[in-house]
Amino acid sequence: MSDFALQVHNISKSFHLARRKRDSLREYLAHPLTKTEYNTLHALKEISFDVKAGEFLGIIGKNGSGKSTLLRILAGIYEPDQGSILRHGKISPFLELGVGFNPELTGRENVYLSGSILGLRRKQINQIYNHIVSFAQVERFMDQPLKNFSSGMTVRLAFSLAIHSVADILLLDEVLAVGDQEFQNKCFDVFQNFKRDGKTIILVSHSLDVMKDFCDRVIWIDQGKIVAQGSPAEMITRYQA
Amino acid sequence: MYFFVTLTLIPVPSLIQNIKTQAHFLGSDFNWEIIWQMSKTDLKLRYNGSVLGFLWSLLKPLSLFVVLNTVFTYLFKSATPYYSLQLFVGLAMWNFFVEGTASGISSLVARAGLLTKQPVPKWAVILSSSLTGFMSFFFQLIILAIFFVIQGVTPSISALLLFLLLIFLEYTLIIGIDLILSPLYVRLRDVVQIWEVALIAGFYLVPVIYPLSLIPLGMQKAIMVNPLARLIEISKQSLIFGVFPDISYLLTTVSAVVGVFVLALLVSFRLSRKLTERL
Repeated sequence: MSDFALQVHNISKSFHLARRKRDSLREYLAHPLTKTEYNTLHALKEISFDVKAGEFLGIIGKNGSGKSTLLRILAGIYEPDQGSILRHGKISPFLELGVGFNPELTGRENVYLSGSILGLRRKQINQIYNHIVSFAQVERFMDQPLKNFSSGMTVRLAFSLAIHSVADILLLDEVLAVGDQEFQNKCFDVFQNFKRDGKTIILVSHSLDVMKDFCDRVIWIDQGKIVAQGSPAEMITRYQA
Repeated sequence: MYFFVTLTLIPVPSLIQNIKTQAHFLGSDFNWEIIWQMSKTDLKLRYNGSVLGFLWSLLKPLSLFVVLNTVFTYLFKSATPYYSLQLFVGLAMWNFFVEGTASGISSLVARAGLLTKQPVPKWAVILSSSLTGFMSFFFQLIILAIFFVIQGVTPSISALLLFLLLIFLEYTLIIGIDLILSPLYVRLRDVVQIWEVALIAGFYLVPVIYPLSLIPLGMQKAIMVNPLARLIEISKQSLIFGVFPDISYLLTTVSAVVGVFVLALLVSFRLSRKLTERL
């Protein structure tokens, strides 16, 4: 077993943004000879870092600094232009809660659909179904269409499903921002438990408080590059400066 | 021939790289249930809120059949026996093709929200949407069986086994087309419109409403280049009349479908690179 959960080596990623949007045939026919012009956006430039197994790593940075792109590459959603990622363990990306949720399906159907998307087998869901529902406190509504759920109930169900489907490495993107104070506290308890269980967590957030309370180490990204990394206290002071 | 020409266009290293990046989805880790769950959802949602619900997937092809049968029986009845039965077999297979490609082509765009949030393999999304078309085809087959009984035609066991193979080949063909056109649709949003027009023309290029024997021999040959036309014609002949194709004819049909599929796979790898970023 490796000491590392993730080894990221020299990752770069750029996006080609067309100056004129050309995704219809009319556009191609109207300007057959002009090549599409692109603005290249270097979202990530030669990013390298390691994450130890069991570490709680925070990634901080301004809007558009490349945090979310990095998270998507770690999750395997985007393909990097160059560089490599070694993943020692199964990854659970949570870039959004309730991925695959459909308002027309019942709560129960949504748990099975979204659960399979999050990598759970039917048998596994059968086993933990009652836990998921009771944690979300929506027992009475599970056979109703999701559109009849209040938004709070939907978020609770999505969150409950998410934390019950966690593998070895968690990728979290600002999902903490949802819910009322009470629910947020509940979430933080869950994260503390994950940390105790030795799960590896990578959290992207704007919230300095969250970084301070949870993270073992913080990486500060700006304009696609790692500016600095170190203890939360140190990074926060520099980040705020 | 065209298969080998296209092969040389594809840089082998990038192909290997693509197979590698796709490969980890095929490991023991991959949750196959996701395909079934997604297609079940598609099926549930398609007729959600309509009174007759899933029956519509039967009523639509049936009413098309009734209309075509009423109109064309007068034209073709004297030329060929069991015209209605032939029409039904051909129409069921044609509908399968139309539904499988229509839902397959738009599948990646329709599931953009999922693909940009979770590392779900694209082929799983394509496969699940074509599976939805297969399910409604399956129900049409039940009606087809009843129709055979009413008409007093009993297909032989070997004809039924051959039909299973032909259905499998048609499904392979559908997935092949979806594999090419669905990533293309992400890049070029005209693809769906073009495909719809192509299908309107295509309906007359397969022997569904007319018996093949009625058209000139030269034209018959041209029409039978199309693997789908072959699948439909072989099905009609073997199920209804007990007439089987030569082995060599069957083999070229199989290899045409397999060729299209392999070609589609290769093209799809190329088209699917960095596709999620465009969704």
